[in-house]
Amino acid sequence: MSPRSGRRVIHPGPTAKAPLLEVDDLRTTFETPRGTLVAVDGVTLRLEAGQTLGVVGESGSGKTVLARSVLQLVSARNAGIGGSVRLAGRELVGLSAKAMRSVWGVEAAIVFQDPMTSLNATMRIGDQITESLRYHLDMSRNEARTMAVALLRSVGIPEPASRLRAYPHQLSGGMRQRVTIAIALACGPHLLVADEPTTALDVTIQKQILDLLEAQQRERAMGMILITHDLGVVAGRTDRIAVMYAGRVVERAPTRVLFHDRRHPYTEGLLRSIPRMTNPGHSRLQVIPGRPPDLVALPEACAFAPRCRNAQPRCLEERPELVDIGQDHEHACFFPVGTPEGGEALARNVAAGESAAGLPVADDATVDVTTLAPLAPTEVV
Amino acid sequence: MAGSGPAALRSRDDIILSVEDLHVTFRLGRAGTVQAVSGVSFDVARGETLGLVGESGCGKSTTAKAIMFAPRPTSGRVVYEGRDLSSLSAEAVRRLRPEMQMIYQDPISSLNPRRRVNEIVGEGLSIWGRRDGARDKVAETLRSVGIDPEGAGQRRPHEFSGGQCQRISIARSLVLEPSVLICDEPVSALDVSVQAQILNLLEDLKATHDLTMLFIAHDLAVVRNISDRVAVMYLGKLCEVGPAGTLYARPAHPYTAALIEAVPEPDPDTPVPDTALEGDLPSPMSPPSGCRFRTRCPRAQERCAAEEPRLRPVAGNGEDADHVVACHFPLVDALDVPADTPITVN
Repeated sequence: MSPRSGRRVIHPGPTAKAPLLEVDDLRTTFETPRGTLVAVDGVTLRLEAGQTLGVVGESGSGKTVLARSVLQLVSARNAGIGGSVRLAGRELVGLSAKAMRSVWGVEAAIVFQDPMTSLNATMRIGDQITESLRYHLDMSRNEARTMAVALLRSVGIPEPASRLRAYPHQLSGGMRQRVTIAIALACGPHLLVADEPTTALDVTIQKQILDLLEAQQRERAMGMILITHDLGVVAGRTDRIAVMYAGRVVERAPTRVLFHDRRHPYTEGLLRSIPRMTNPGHSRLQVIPGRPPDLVALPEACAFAPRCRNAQPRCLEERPELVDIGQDHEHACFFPVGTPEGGEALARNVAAGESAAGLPVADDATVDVTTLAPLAPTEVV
Repeated sequence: MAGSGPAALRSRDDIILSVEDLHVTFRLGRAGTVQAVSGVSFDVARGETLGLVGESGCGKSTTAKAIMFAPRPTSGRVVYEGRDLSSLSAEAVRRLRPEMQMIYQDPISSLNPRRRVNEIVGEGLSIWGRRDGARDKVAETLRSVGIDPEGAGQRRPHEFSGGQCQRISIARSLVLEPSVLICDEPVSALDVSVQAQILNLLEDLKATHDLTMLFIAHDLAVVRNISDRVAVMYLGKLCEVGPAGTLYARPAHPYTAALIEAVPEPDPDTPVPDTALEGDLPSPMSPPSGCRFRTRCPRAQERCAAEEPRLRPVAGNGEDADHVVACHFPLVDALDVPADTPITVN
């Protein structure tokens, strides 16, 4: 955190039309022995109350660091957060952990991926739920207990009163995730960040948890950020989607627009690599060749260019910024898919047999993967 | 569910691997016993990919390990190429291992972090004394899975990404030229883009190496894509076995239908179905009586608690006579099978 911590920030209160969450040019960096790792690189987002924003990308694209930065949960000594995060008009960047205590749980809460490690294994779940109720809402032991039972019931835990005495290990994975959601909802936050909440769960339990999050979000008119690597998860459950790559938002649009009218080749690649149940068996899947870049010392170029079928010389020399193309749709690409420039760029690469970055590009979109696994650089993060 | 019985076994002469009435029981001391797999029978034809799906805890991985005799199943037969593994000595089973190889879910923890890639991939060759040309064989296998042996051979697993580690695991299994490859959730830990690379690679290798595959996964879309046949498991038993296309288009078991419905479609115009399978898998220490799925089944009747359904052929699927279901009230009509049908094995 920045040295401004400790300074008192006057809480201006939610203004009439201001969005619930305004993230401007957020930048989170980690100092490493190899140099500065830029995990989140100038992200700007808006979220209205009652809306759900999906954040999608591969591992290492900066989704989780973004979520944690929004809530000022990046506490590593080598970390720095720049830019601005305003929740209901209140600036969070620079607040001390002490000041954030009145935000965490009350204004904004987070649900993590692995419910086993995010719950305290040595505390009964009843105590974990009532802890924040008693601290923030000043409830008596009995009031808090009654509230905890109601919360557990609302997240679909059978026999909630007797479950209060259970330890996390006595519950299944799905039940544990329900408990973490109950804890997150306990103090009635306006913003809920769900970081891969169902990645560790079975598909049937995943549906239960996503249904639960959606119902609670509607009922409480919360703003929700749903982070996932699975475009299937966000397709039916979000209002807007931001696609992240190498710490940046590369495309952002309302959900239907993004699926029907995607522009960024990375979004296209992510969508096409999903196996679909409606496809005939043994369909050749399209792949995004290679892997995400090393986030230390990224060049001033398009970070996706080495893996992009459309890449041209310009992509290697200049970094595309987000441009608004209407319909609340932004993308950061010089040669977007579905446009004449993009089509010509791909045709040029197909004719040359490779992209400007040297990626083999065949006419048919199926590329021989055996030629496309570059050796990993040694990673020290 | 609860499907016991041999109905999923086919009488064909190209069956390479068959599992008959497989049981795996674990003792938990005073707490009792867990029937992880109870009475599973299925077979795999040469060159076929059988997908095995089900929720965590249904016994998919235990079945895979029991086929490898690691550990030996509590009862039942595993027949590989006409040889009944349970009648063989431990040493004879060990001698068969090169022909049946396994890939695990977590590619990073399944590789020894202290060994170099060349040692990891070449270990099987040195164990079996195939030292002649071993170095070339390792390099060739690495190349076939998309890893450059020049640069990678002297490195250790931590220097690779998850997808690359999974490629190395695959190379380690293939170097012994197995006939059967058992893949236990090989792509579950990977990003969707890397998952597609590995799935394509497995399809390629299956063709170039004449492999028969048992592919275990909980992602139904992945299984649909790679499998010829699919077997659905619940709490240690089979619910339904059939050709992938038929099973997904017209599931006969309510559990299969629920699993398919739960898969999120990557299409914002497809509404999320309202129905959800409620609750969790019951404890395998005290499974429900009768049909094991009845506690979560929307179609359950009294009969389901009293009587365990046997696997029986699904009617009306024409040529797809090898589609079987274990349900008293299936979604598609099923043929009655007398309860005392003898277990016939080709």
